[in-house]
Amino acid sequence: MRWIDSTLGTAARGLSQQELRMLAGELAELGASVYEVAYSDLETVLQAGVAPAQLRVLAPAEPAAILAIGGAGVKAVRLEDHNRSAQQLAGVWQGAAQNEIQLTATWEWHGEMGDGKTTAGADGQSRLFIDRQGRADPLDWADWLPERTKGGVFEFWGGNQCGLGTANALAAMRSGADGILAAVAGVDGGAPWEEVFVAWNLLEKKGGVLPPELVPRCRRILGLLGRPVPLNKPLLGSNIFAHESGIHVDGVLKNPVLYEPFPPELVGQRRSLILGTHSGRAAVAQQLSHLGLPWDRGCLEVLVQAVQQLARRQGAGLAAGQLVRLYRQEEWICESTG
Amino acid sequence: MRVNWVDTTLRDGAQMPGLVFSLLERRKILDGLMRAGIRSFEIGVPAMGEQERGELRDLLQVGSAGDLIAWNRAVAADVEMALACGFRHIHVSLPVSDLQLRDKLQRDRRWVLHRIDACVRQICAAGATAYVGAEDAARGEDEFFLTYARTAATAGAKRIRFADTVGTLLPEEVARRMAYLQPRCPIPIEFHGHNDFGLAVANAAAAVRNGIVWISGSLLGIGERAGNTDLRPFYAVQQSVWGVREAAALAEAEGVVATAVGRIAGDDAV
Repeated sequence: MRWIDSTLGTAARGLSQQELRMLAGELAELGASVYEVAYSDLETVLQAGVAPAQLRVLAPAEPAAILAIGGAGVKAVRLEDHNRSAQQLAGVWQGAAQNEIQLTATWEWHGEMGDGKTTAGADGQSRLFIDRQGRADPLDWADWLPERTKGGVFEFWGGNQCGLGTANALAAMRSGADGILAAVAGVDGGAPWEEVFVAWNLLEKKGGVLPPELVPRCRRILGLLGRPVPLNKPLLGSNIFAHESGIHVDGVLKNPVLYEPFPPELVGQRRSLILGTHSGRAAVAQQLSHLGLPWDRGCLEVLVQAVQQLARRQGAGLAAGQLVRLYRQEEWICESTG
Repeated sequence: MRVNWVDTTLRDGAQMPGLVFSLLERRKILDGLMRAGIRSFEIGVPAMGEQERGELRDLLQVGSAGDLIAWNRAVAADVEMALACGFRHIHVSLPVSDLQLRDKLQRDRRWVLHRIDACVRQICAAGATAYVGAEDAARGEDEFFLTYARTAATAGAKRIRFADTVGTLLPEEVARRMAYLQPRCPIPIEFHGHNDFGLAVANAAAAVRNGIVWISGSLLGIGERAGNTDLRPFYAVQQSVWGVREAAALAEAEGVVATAVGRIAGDDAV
């Protein structure tokens, strides 16, 4: 899956040169093939040491701008003017070709699937299809894109406001997209790159190799950007492989596949068992054994109640060390029955 | 086409690791959802203990404007506890994938059919409405799902939940399977997705496009791991793509959920 990154472009104005270099390094390790940045940010990014060959610049369809970008050593440009016909872009296209610059036009979806003004491939241009509002449906894209892109090279960017971005990007890939424009965690408002990438390789079974440090790298990137990671953010959140409810903990201890879609180590995540109001005997017993604390059935029953009551009192699950403190409080029971 | 939302913020949502709702928060969330026009709510698990049952009895007093559902394992004693609390809408769940039957319960399909038949009859005999859950249906066989549904329907169940328990379905697969299952199923199917790959809303939308009129999810998408289908974007899709008008003032209830999530240890927050 070819990934045109928009994380660097989204962050370009807010980071120092060193931070931009670190960001580019992390993105390269994750597999970004090229970074798309705005024309106005080109100088900043080049000064940070990002190689021109790694960049694609989003620029107006003006011959002078295209030439200036080419003069900086950049060989790829996407035109920010939307939905221009081949005739309207003929002059720009010719100028870019003379300077060996690869041009990508932009086509934005505004409404019904049938109202497209242009067809990728008809004029030999590469196109990026944009669904800015993220309102189109993946089943529609799957029907519509193959008809519109026969023989043409195209990419896709889908907004994620309605939670459809990942599914739409996958639909585009299945329809033959050459690549997707996306940012880590969807910080550009689009489909989160990591969701598309992991789903493409695991659910669509494309067999790509997942970077073992995928999640830590993404989290470092979000740290650089100053973005918090929601606990339940797919793949990246710290709750993604955490289990609390009695049924789930019991199941995961028997066979993790029962309640996990894939092994956490595959993406650099870790499994954790949380103690709280939904905890049962299996979770508390596992934690006691992990801590090397002796217990029996009577001790366990008392501690499960104590765990649930403490969680209710403090309005949240137990923090590290709280089970040990509870155990010591109830130690006379554990000793007498142990 | 009307799409009905079965809200599970107070049950599956509340199973988000580390999350604890106080009784006051549960009341506020339920009240907010009711004012927003939601009519079906899964509000808890009576088998969790006496304190939980006390809170559930309290919530049952709040909920005159909708169906308040107790979630249960398909265990006679658990169902009895739900009935004793005063629930008139009772959900019983069993896994239907061979993986879960073998590795979690060490049981077979025949046992599942016998158990669901007995539990649904127990609920109906008490005059309550029975709903059944087909846990891990996504990784199970469609024909067994239908056999399970027919058994439950014959015993008196009014709706069956198709659960994508670990969130591994793609929208195209949801579309294909719902288009196959719903016309063959004697009772309405409720689609219950998880968001492990960020596909829960798209999967719910695909289910609706293929004949499903009951969707299950939670406020802010809270739940186990990456959570459930998030109500707000789901309704945004309903309004913008299919023209359904279910404008809902949910901010107040979402605020209560966000506050509770914010208490979970660590600096992350929804």
